[in-house]
Amino acid sequence: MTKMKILLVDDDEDDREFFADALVGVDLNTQLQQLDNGKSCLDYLLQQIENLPNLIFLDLNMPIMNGFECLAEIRKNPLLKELPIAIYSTSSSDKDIEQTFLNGANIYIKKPSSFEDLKKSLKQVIKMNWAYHMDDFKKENFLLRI
Amino acid sequence: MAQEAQADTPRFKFHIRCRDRIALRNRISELEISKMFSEKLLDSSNNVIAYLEPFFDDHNNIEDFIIKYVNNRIQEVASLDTQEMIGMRWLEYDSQNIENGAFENAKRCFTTGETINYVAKYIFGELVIWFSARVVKLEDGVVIFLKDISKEKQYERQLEIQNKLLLEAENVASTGSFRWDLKKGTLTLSENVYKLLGYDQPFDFEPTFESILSFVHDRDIEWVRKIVNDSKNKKERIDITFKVVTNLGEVKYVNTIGEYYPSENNWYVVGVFKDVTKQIEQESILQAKNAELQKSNSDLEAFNRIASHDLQEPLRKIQMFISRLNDEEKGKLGSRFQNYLDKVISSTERMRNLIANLLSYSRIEDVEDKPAKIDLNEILTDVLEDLGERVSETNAKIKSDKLPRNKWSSISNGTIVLQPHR
Repeated sequence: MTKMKILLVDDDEDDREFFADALVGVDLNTQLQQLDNGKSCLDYLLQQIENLPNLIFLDLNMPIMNGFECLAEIRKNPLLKELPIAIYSTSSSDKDIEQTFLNGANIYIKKPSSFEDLKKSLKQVIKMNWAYHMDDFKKENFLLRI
Repeated sequence: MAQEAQADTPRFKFHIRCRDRIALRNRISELEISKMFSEKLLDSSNNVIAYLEPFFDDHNNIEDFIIKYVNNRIQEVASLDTQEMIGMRWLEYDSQNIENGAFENAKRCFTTGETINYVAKYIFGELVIWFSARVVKLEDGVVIFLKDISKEKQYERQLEIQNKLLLEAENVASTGSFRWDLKKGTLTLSENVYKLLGYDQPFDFEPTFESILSFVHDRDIEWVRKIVNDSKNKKERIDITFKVVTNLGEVKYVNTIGEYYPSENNWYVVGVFKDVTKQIEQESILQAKNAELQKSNSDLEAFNRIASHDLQEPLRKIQMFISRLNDEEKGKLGSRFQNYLDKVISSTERMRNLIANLLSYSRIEDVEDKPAKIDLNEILTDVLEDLGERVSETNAKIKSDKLPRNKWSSISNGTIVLQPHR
């Protein structure tokens, strides 16, 4: 069975570690790639154009290129624009949330403060039928906030 | 000769006498008709007409006048009886003729032969009558023509009162009005406009647009000239606020509104000048205060950003690590340490709530206060749980009745409750 390829872009090392551990706890049939800023994410995606991830988790506050800019660049690129993107950030500002949805995010996950909650959120997102939902996103502009 | 002889005959003389008598009678009759006609004519006049002859004292000075004739108009105007008046001495009949100057004018007219016009006021009971009078010398007396102008006087008075009221209103509202004749190029200004420009009295010449422009502040003058000239071409309403420097060197802000209207092959602009200095000053104070407020808001927002990220983030990490510790070590810790860990977990959670609620309270942008249903019994339970140790240490006893459940805006459950929902 093909492993689901997940890309996590977050500059916080601890958060990346929590994420990786939680992901293992949720689903072993996943393959995680970690990056620490928007620029390296874009470079990576363009290199992996034939082997793109199935889902991207993108932090917002990052050095070099933040999550907002990275999201906008991905949606502008015809080869990358269909990629499902979940924002994964500490910000709970409505302004930030609205802005990411306007820029084309599919899901917004506020970083939880318990490991259990993190696992629950990841489970919920990973178990979604992405092909089905991506269709929905296109048709109905379906957005989800977890 | 024969005729002369005939004329001497008694019969002829009688014949002549008869003929003269008839002619005389006819003449008298004609005169009577003429007199009646004249009287009717005089009575039909809209003016009171009177003929007076002077009455001299021992030193040949005019002491009074005798009323020789007065037409019936006086009855209609002042309800006076002409028959009673005729033959009476004028001043004896009405001494008002001295007070209002009529006697002096009649005397002068008779003495010098000069025709005199004047205005005189008479009071008859409750009736006040104003006459426009003209006195003319005629043979041995004077004729006085009196035209009743009471209504005009009344209107004039009303107009005067209205103008005073308008002036008062202009004073109260710090406004002045103007009328601009575009053909002549001159402006008629109300008294208050002059006051607004620092003058006690109106100019003794008719001001033009350029003379008004000379009061406009150098910074605004070209702009005002352009706006007004453009509006003149399009006949569009003027509504502008600009600075003026008054005659006393004061700088004021003036708002002017003018509307165009056509009249007899000409255009006029009528409008008002309003001193808006106080409003503008208050507005700029308000703007300065707003700027201060904005700065303080942005400082607060900056604080929010720091607090929300820099303060919450480490706390979230602590919670995350504790949560992992708890997951990993649950069941392995002794009950004492497990209890400590539970307390750390609940304290950090409480701290997170405190920060979040404090932030939502201080967030200026989204002040929307959403009251929520809060059960005070639940809050009390939480608080008692938190304070459990201290309660048992101090042997405190806490009693409570059943507390209400209502809509409240809260900063933090269990600590501070604000503003009961109305």
